[in-house]
Amino acid sequence: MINFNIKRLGKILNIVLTIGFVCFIPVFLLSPFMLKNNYSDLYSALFIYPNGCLMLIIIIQFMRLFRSLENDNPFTNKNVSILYHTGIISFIMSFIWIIDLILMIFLVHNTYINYIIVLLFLFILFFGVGIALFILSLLFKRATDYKEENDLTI
Amino acid sequence: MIIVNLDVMMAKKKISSQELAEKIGITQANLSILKTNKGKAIRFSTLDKICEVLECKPGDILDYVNDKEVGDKNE
Repeated sequence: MINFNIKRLGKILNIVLTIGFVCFIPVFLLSPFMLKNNYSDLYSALFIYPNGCLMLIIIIQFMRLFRSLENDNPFTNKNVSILYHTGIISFIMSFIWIIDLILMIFLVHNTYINYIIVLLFLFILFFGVGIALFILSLLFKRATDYKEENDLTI
Repeated sequence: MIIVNLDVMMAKKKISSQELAEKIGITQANLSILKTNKGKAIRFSTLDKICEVLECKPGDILDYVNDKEVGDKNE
């Protein structure tokens, strides 16, 4: 059996996410200056920015989750709610992408196939992640109940 | 519901929580959970040790109270 230290894993993941979070902010702030002055880019920015904010929230939520891994206590109701809320945020993001895709095709008439494929991919990706997080939160809920019962068995 | 009357037996045998916990081999925190009826289950091995240390039977420690009767009294 693979013997890995969950505390160390939590620590490494937390460091990676902190670096990601720090790198993400300059990109987030500088991206308006990189936009070209056309409708297509403007519409994209309208949808990319809310998604960027939601992504930052997801990163913060995951940092909280990995901190509990560091403390060697992952099965708590707090983590269940973190996973549940992250799942909801992921669903919201997927719907923002699909709205972006619909508007791109019907309003801006941008039928550039690569763009459509990327947006469709993002929609499917975040929808899938949302479902996975929901299932994970249910599993965590069950595990938390078992742990509580085990802790209260003397 | 099942009620744990460990306090009564401990007082009868004049044994402290710390001493009992040490003799049974559980932590004082777990013994406190048991005494305050917050526990969800008790292992036979733990019950066996408690009975051995307190020289009593499981019936002396555990008692059954009807939930409805308790509720009526409270009302």
